[in-house]
Amino acid sequence: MKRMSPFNVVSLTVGFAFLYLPILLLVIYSFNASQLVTVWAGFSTRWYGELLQNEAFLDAAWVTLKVGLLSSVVATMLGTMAAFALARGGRFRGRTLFSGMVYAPIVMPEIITGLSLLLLFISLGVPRGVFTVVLAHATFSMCFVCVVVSARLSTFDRSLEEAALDLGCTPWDAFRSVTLPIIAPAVIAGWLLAFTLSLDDLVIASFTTGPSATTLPIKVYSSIRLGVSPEINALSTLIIGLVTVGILVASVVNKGALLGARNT
Amino acid sequence: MTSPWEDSNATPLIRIDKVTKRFGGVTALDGVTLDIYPGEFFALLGPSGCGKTTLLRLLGGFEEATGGHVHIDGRDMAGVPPNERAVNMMFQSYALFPHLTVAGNIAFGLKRSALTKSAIAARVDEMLRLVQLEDLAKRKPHQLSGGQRQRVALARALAKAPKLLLLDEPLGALDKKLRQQTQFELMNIQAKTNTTFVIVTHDKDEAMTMASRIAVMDNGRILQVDTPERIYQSPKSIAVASFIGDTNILEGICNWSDGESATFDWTSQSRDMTGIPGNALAVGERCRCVVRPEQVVITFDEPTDMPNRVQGIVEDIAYLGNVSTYHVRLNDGSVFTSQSMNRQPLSPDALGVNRSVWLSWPESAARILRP
Amino acid sequence: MRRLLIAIPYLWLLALFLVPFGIVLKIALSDAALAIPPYTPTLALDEGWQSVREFLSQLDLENFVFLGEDALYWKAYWSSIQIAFVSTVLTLLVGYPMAYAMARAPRRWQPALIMLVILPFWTSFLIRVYAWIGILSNEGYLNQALLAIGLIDQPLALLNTNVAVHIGIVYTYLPFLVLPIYATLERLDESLLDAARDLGCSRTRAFWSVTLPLSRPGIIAGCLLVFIPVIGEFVIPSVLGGSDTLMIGKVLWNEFFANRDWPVASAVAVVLLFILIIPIMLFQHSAMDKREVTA
Repeated sequence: MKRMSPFNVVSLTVGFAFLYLPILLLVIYSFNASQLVTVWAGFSTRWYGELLQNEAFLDAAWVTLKVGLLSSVVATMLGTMAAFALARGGRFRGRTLFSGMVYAPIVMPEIITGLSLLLLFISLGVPRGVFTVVLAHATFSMCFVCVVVSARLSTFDRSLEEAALDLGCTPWDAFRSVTLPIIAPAVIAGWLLAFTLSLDDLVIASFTTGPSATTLPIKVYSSIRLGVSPEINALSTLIIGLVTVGILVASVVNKGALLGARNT
Repeated sequence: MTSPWEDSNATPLIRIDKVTKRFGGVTALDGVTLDIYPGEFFALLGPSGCGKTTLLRLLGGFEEATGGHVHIDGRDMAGVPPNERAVNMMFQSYALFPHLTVAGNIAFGLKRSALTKSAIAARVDEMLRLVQLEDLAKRKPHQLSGGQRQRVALARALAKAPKLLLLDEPLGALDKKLRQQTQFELMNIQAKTNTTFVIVTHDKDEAMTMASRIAVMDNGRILQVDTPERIYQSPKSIAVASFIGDTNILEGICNWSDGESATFDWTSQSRDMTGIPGNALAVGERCRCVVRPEQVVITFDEPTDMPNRVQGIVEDIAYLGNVSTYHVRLNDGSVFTSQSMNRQPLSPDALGVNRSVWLSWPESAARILRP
Repeated sequence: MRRLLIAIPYLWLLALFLVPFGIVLKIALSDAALAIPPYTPTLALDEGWQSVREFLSQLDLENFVFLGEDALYWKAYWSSIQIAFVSTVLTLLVGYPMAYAMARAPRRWQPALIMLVILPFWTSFLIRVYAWIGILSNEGYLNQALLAIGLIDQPLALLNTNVAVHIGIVYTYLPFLVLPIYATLERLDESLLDAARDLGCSRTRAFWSVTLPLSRPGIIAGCLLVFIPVIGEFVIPSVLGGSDTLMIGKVLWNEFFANRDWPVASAVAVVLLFILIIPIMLFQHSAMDKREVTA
């Protein structure tokens, strides 16, 4: 067993301390009794109580959840299709443009994507609200889904599908009983990514939403412009907790799914 | 001219003295002692996991021995890192740098020496000529065929004119035909550059073709070190005999020996056989006798002039073109193998299945060993 | 079946990604007007070819001229590029050693280490930026700690400066850089390092002449994944930066939401896109390369 050099141990320790210390401080101070976020005045869950009474936050959370679920499902379907089109479509006309459009939104500044979608909705006269945010989120997260699923498809052994066809499956049967179970972990990972991207997004939602649909990030952003508040710390802790549990569960399920696929 | 290993005045280039290597609880090398002389083409032969690659990496400086000493050219190599050894290695995967051209790969080691730019260029050209890749100097490794890559790896390792070149399964990645052709190329280059080669291989034919001496290894130990002829004809143990080629094994009890020849009672046939003792054998000791199939003569009539003979029934015949292999069932149920050249076309009824035949072999073909 | 598979995502992206850019371009070429929508469309396609000709003849670059004349915009673009460049270099300095150490860590730890790098990336971006307010403010944890150990006697003004923006960028974009570099380092054949050592390199020398050049694709991809989105970054400069932090994302946001000058905002976006086209194409090139290597 090779041992790690001291330099490597230091790099990892410093790197992970840098990544996790701010989050840790945030969580700790969410249990602070004081109104002043940076001065510790004893343990309390007071801010969680106040948070749960805050109608505006609860409404925003509901809107965000709705947008997240709808847009991630649409994005997963579109992204998986796009991944198949790129991996299996062969050479079709406009392929270069297509793959360009798939990769560009990943690095495109959100502010440009947001602005351009808003101008589209205005020129088409579409009223802005939950629906437009869902369209916007589905568009930009489908690209992430596509990248995740493509990566899995590129390592997929096509002879498995050929074997299924040889054993009497129709192409659809082969897809359902062989291809889908094998790429399922990637599809689930893509969906999870799309869902969290949607929950997380401030800029695109700010452009494409209307007064009726304020998402949680928009609400959080407008209150942190006024400075730190213990209520936001409590909200952040809840979100971090939920996401962490979600990711850990997903990674366990994913590993199970992978093992299952290997065993059968 | 006597070979250096038979000359008591010759100084070995490499002295490996009771070297042990453990990885955690696994012992990869167990008290290995070995001398390798300048100019040798030395093969480490054995099944995978026998410790041969560990021994090679130990010589290269990539592993540190747990116990014992390695001397190269009279110097104790303990604690000397690979970059300070006058030893180069040709890696099993070739380990060609994908970001450098063929010429860049060959020049890589030279750039770490005190050579001038023009001297490096001249040496690179010389190496390219040596491996006949003059036209491909500007190519990147991924643009080469397997055989070409192998030659670049060889040129790179030889560029610094090392005293010792270590080759880890150098032909393992090539297909069979190319492998045979390359064996001779390697031997030519070794002779031309007069470098000591230590090669690791699991292919006995490869070791037999190329090596001046072979060390047969198993389970971290060296079983026998000898020339290819002696390894094949005078194995010192059953393990070596059966690793190097097919063999018939007879069990018995030694009933007479004068050191030069011996007789034993072949247990399953209850008859005396003669052979040459490979180890010192005491009368009454259990022993085994190995007989190579190509030494076994097959006849219809009893060859009364042969001391070692046995009767049986042909069970099947494998026709391999130049030779045929006969499996003959003896009266105790065991199967004996005989192999003979097909000099004339076989007549169908000459040696058919179920024919009763006699097998016989001379005393010199039988080697009697401890079990 | 195959056609449908290609057509649906294709049309979706055309309609919701490419067409909107056309609209942005069109509005950037229109006059500002006060009404909502606050632009007068210069191109009315339903009036046919005549209007196209008219449109082309009066093609209006006035918004771009305006951008060129007002130093604010040039300064904002230039300062965005500077901030993005400096923070990409800083992220690389933190991220490369991490990626390297991860790739060298014992195999069985590696999935957990990757998980640890990815986990913050899944938690809210906004929250992670917000976390730094509490650390960097005058009464923040960092100043408290530095005052307590006596390193300083006046709190450092960190929040609302470019320093805070740089820290925020390095912090939030670190996983984007670590993962691609880790991926190339993890694939690196260790016998190449043995070979370099065998040919006379010290460990350090082997790193510079073999490991670093071979991890270049990962470094390029990772740096572009930081550099490109940071140029247009809005959240970090507006939460952690000060009034003098000039970044084009902030300017665009203000132009759009505060000044409600949509044509100028669109022109700002078009110019930003032109600035980004080369790095985006570089990124796509490197992404394609990587796919070919893995295939």
